[in-house]
Amino acid sequence: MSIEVQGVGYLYEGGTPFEKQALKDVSFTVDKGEFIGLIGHTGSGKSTLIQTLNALLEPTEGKVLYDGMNIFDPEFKRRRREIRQKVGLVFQYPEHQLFEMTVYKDVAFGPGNMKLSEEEVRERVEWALDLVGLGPEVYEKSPFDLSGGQKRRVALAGVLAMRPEYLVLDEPAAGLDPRGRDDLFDEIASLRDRTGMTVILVSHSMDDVAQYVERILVMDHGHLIYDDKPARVFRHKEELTAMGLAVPEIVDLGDRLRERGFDLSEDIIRMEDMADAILKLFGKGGAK
Amino acid sequence: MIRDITIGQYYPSDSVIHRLDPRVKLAGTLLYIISIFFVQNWIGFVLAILMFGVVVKMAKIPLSYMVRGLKSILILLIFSVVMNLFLIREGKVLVHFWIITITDKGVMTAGFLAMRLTLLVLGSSLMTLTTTPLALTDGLERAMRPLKKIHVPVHEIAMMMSIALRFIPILLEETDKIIKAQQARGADFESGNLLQRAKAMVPILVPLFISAFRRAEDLATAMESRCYRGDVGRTRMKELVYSRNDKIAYVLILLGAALLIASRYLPFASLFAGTGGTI
Repeated sequence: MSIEVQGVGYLYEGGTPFEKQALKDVSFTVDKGEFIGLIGHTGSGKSTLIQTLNALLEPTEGKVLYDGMNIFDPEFKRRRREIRQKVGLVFQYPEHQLFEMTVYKDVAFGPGNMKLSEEEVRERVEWALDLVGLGPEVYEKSPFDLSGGQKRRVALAGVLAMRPEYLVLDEPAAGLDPRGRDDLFDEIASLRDRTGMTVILVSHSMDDVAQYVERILVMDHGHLIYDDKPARVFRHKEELTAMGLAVPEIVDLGDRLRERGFDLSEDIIRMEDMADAILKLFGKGGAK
Repeated sequence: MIRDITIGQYYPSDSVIHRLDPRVKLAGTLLYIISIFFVQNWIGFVLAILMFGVVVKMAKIPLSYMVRGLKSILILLIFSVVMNLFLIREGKVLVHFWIITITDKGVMTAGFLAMRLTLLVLGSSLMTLTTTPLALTDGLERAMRPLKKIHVPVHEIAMMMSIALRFIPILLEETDKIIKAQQARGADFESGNLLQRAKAMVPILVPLFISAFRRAEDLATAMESRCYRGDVGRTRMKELVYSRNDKIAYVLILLGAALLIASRYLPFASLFAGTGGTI
């Protein structure tokens, strides 16, 4: 079970002066159960790339295979809707797509499009809203009366209620305050633990995703530059900086400490691990 | 799909036509359209097409790009041609079959009408393709300035126009985004009967309206915080001043229009004449 992206390229408005190569020869495979971070500067092609994953955008070159089937095969056209339900895509500022009178109805829109029984829809809506931490008290509220953070959770639940196998989140924390940002990422990590969903987190900030994901894809000018474990990607500090991306603060701290002769592993990318390692270092030599 | 619309779109390029004063282009387009209605024979149309071709060449816009804009009026074009072709009964009968009668006059009229419509659309899209919306409304405001004396809110009209023009691409993009987001939730806009399709639009229209209102409010706040209070005492960064090229263009435009109108009265033109036709 996997999504394979093979040599995908995308050219916007080919043949006009607005022509823009958004993607160029991008290839990678997403295996089921992975937790991936897709990082790139604004305009690096990451948003275009994720739209090819669920057949919203047909690449101008290359193909995307879902469990071995090319999702852009003409024969496969009828099943594109199914693919979109299996590969749940949450756009940037998803609260802008809310439209129903009540939270419940809005979340039920996705599963309602799947020809499920009313009972099954209800079960999924409740399950999805529970996953994002919203209780029955909001079901009958208008989504437009909720706070920004709550609206975003409702929109996220709207995609989760389809029970996708893959969940792709485009800048899920954009516009949230630092607290709301941390809460949302923690929730995404915990919902991934609870459901075993494959999650692709799209962001322009390494700090956001570093501590959660197991693998990082780095995009720059439509090219896939790195595809590796976070700690290994962060070793390319200079190249990343040239792309307008910064390594997480913890990695930076580790680098500086190593420069000064401290014996720290290059694999430390989480704040807690760094704290432990530093304490250990000083503990051995005795606190001064 | 939505991006195919070329009317009202600017085509960035560095050409003599692009650099002309927007007022010249406005006047030129207006005169061209009026003269097209005076043209009544093939000689006139050949002249009109030639003039159009020269300006397109000077503007450095690929013809294929211009023709793409015709797609939007294709149905209107076909409809009016067919109507004229079949409904005009005067003149020599060319084809007579069942209830269908096609006369030479009908063919002429239909042809002229198609030509006239095409030139109208192409001519006016040439103006928007070579002029930024901002320059266009600027030119309009300047050109309409005398109307202020009779209390026409010229500045307000121009401001509303430039805001509307500015928001077309933004709202198109927004629509595109919302459609995709709802498709990602399994929405289906392509199948079902008319009622189902109309209902399927609700998930697009509601968010679109909400976003339009939000943007309007944001823009109003932004304008107010920059102390916008209308026309009174307002200066501009770029004052419109006619250059030598603009003056030459004016002369050429007047000559062209005179030529087109004169073509109607050519001595042997009646040989090639058709009637006006109706849309």
